[in-house]
Amino acid sequence: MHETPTPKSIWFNVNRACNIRCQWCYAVDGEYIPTQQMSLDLARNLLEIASGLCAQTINVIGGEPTLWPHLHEFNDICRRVNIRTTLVTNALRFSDDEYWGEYLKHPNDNVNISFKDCSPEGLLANTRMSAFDKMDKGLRRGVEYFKKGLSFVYAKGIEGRMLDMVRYAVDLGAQGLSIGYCTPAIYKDHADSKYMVDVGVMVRETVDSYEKIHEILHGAMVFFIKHPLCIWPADFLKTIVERNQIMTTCHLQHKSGGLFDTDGSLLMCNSLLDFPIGKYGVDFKSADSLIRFMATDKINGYYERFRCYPSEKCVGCNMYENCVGGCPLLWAAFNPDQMIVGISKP
Amino acid sequence: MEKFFEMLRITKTPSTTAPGGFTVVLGSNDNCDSNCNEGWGTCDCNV
Repeated sequence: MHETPTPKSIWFNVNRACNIRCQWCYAVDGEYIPTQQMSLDLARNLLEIASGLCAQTINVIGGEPTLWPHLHEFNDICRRVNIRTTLVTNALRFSDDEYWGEYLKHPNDNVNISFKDCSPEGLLANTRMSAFDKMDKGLRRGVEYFKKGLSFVYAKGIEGRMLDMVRYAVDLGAQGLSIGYCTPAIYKDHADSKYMVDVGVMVRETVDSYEKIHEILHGAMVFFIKHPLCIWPADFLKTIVERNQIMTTCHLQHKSGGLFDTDGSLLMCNSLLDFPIGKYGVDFKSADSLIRFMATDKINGYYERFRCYPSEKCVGCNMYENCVGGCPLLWAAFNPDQMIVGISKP
Repeated sequence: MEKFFEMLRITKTPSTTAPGGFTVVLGSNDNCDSNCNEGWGTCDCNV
């Protein structure tokens, strides 16, 4: 008997609107529709559920949540009920003096800022955004105010420039850096991996740049590894494990996420916008009814399906506990038997 | 979800290993739940 999915980490997908167009955006299938956004009433109701689940933090994500008209009021409400909020943003709106002044009256408790490129040319090519100086200003404001690190996604447009991205993060004042790797964009009927860097190139650039990155950041970095661990050189893995610079697995694999979309739909992953598994007001209306809903055979079965081995090569692998075969979304675009090496046996 | 699972080229062999995973936190990490991340390290104590 497997454990029941229990939402502990909560995300509110508050809108689809975004002020940039990252080539590799996982939410591209949401089509950035400006009118598609969570109402404040729905956000309040979902907040009540989150509170009933004893969530300590709501991750506010979009689209670009600084474009959500209710953000400031929502932040105030959360503060009143002692739930912290983490804003996941590109920080572009922070560059607007008027917006920034107002935001500071209703700030989030925490922020996770991802920057998209380190040069005007790259930013334009990767996001169709020409105002590099504006983006730079917003990033610096966010980093300085929250005293936080930054993150970026290593995707096709960044290939060959990982070190440049690292240096830019330091120049922006980042206290640390999270480097994530692009995963396939999931559409209704297909998965698209065209903005992912070739696996061999990804491994080579990461490994070749690693010691320099470690030196530049004084070790304050983390690689969020989404590919199977067996594709990485063993000595590289050993080093980043020893130095505590690696993250693997996610809430989907741990059955611990609660992701609410703009209309109250329940998602298993932010990349699976077209595949809701339930809806507020229909399948659940409270924390208790959500827990009951997630314990149903149907929902539990979905989670169990994601727990199947990607490849028979994974069976018996002594790294499997910490690898779990990588991000499951990979296997909508790639054949696991071709990518997985499966060398790590006891 | 069934339509998504049709795209997913994984085995139908259930894993008997409970997922663990590496947790990384820069700074104080005593209270970190790495399960909350989605690649951005969205927990408070992360980067």
